[in-house]
Amino acid sequence: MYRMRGARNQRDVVVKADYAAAPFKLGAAYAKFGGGDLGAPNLEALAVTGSFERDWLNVGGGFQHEKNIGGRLGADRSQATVGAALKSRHVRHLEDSIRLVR
Amino acid sequence: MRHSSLGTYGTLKTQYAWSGELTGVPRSGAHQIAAGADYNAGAATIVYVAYARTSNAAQTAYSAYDFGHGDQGVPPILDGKSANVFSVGLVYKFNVAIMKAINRTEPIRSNMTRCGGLSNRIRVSATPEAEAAGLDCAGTPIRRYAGRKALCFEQPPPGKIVHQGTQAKGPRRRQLRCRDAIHQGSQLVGGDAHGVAHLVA
Repeated sequence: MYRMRGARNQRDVVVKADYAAAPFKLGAAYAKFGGGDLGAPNLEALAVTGSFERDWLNVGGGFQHEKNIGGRLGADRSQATVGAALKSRHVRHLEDSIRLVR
Repeated sequence: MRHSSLGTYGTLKTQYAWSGELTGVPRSGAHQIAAGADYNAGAATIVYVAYARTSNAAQTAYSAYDFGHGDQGVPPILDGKSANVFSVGLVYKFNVAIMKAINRTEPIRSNMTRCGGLSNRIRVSATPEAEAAGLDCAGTPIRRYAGRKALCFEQPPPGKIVHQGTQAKGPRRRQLRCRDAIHQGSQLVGGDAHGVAHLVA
């Protein structure tokens, strides 16, 4: 996300929220960057993320949508990513062996 | 690249990223795949390999920045070209050795009981007799010892430590199978969500 270069009197808004309920985590954010005295359209961005985590597996992803990129009206774009991490079985066994009582 | 904390051997990790077309600009999308492996060569040393490939549409020139490993970029490329990044490296965490040295300054006194754990608070259950006498072992403060794999009780919890065998399974696992006094050298080898430690002498 970008701010408008060379603009004055911009009004920016950023709102973010996170929520965790094991083994899940969720996040969301919204941002709006005003065009200021340049008269450029507001740059807006909305993003959501999520993840799932277990002892041996971690999967997560995110999605974001931007509007008026670079101050150009109608220049929109979406982006997404997803990833995973896998621990070896031996690693999990060792970590189990030192886990605290919950 | 998404990853979780390392264990003894390491972690395999992969990531896919997609960037859609910019509105009004045809063939401006891209996607990227990345894969890597971390090998834990010691408590403070990690050896890693990673590969990333960015595939650009005709009017896009994303590099493989950040998705190979770390936050080092690669030189810019021409529109429509694809970037391939292969990285091999070693990470040594100096702070691990420092923290271990700090923790080692705390000796095990004769009245301390040592067991394993990850937190500075360990929940152990007292025997029914101890609980009836108002002795509650839950939340007994303990001190770290030698990093995160061993802990010391400031004082041995009152009464006996209630615990199960290490192989307790099934619906009757809440039943306690043995009750032995915790003593110097006891090791916590596991635990379940029912609040009972698995200890071995």
